[in-house]
Amino acid sequence: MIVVENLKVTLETKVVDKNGKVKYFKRKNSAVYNLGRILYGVLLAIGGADLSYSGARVSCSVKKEDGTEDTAYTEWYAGERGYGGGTPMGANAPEGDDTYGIMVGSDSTPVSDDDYSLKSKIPHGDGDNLLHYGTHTFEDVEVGTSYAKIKMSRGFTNNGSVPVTVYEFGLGVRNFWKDQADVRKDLKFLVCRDVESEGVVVNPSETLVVSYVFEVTL
Amino acid sequence: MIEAYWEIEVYDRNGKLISKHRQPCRSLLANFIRMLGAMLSAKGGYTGTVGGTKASCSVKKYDGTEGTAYTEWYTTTYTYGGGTPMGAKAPDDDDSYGIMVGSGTKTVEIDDYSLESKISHGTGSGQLDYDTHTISISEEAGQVKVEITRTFKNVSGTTVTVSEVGLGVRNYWKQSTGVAKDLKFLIVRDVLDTPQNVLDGGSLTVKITIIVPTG
Repeated sequence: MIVVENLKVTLETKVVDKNGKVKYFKRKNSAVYNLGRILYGVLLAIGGADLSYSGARVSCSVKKEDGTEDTAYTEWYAGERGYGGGTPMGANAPEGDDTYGIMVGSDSTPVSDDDYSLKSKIPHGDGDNLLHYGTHTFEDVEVGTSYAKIKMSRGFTNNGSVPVTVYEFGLGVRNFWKDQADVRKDLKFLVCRDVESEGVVVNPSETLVVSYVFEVTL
Repeated sequence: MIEAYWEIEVYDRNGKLISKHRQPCRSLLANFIRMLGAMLSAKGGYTGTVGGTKASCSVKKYDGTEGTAYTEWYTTTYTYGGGTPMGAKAPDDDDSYGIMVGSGTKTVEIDDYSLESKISHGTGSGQLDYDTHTISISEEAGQVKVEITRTFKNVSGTTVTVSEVGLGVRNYWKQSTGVAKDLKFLIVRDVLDTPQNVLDGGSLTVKITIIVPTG
């Protein structure tokens, strides 16, 4: 049987110099087990819970950044406290937050099925050997006659004085549920990891822009 | 990154397998991308008395009109708040989401929002009895497989022909005082290469296998 690729996910990386000129561009992508695990958890949900229902109704197991397993909620309700709710797999990390969303690293170990973290994440910062993690941008969904796609991007600026070479790229998501009194679940885990064996050099004052494009086609 | 296929099995009234059909799933729909984007656009990290809708998107409902689906939502003041963005595990007898079947043959379009002609749940002529879902996950070298299965029994007294299949999901958020959002919409639709006849007393089992290649 012919297998059709229903969802294409493309990682685009480009380096922009201080004059705005694009000097590097490449595409690739790989998922890891966690993406399937959270997709499973999301679809496993039922909805329609009674108004007085509370607790974790549906969940799944994922592998955290430290390699241990934890439970991600995909249908959850607060108890007798207000301001309850959450989200199962957000990736819109704010500026300066290098714990989820699009992340970059300096290790070139090939991708394996159950990768759960970047092997050597380049931390956020403005000193040498660091990159400044920008905000994320999400383009509007584009729907054509036979396709629909969305693109999310993040910029990484080298504000240090030495070049930084990026070999690995990752997409991390946040499973977060809270009420007025407390955070009831705050779990971050990797769903995509890619390695560019030749590395991408980001010189001082340059910005690396990493994008994930998700596209369905007929 | 994601591949999927359908498997359709038809059984007679004695439970004997009389037909087995497998074909690629060719059509994750625009609604799927809308929801994936909106789930990823969520931030998390709020504390205390932060409430309201923090991430959402517009999706096409079964009637073709647009509705707003929440992907990050918090109640304000009221208790028992929470929900889920796109659950597919519809319970027994519920033909409004999960795996659904129909008799339409219209060519799939990327922005399809409903089956062309859904076969409704029931025991009357032209109807099928919608069963519960089984949803499972398995990890193998190079891939994760998510399997969603539902059985449809024919107790209508006549043969029912199934020619289209789909997967609907439910966006549901509530609090103690009421339901804040209950939206159902289609994310997958395919027309069967070979329509399947389900004889009276027989049943149809439909499985969609979603594969996430890894590594």
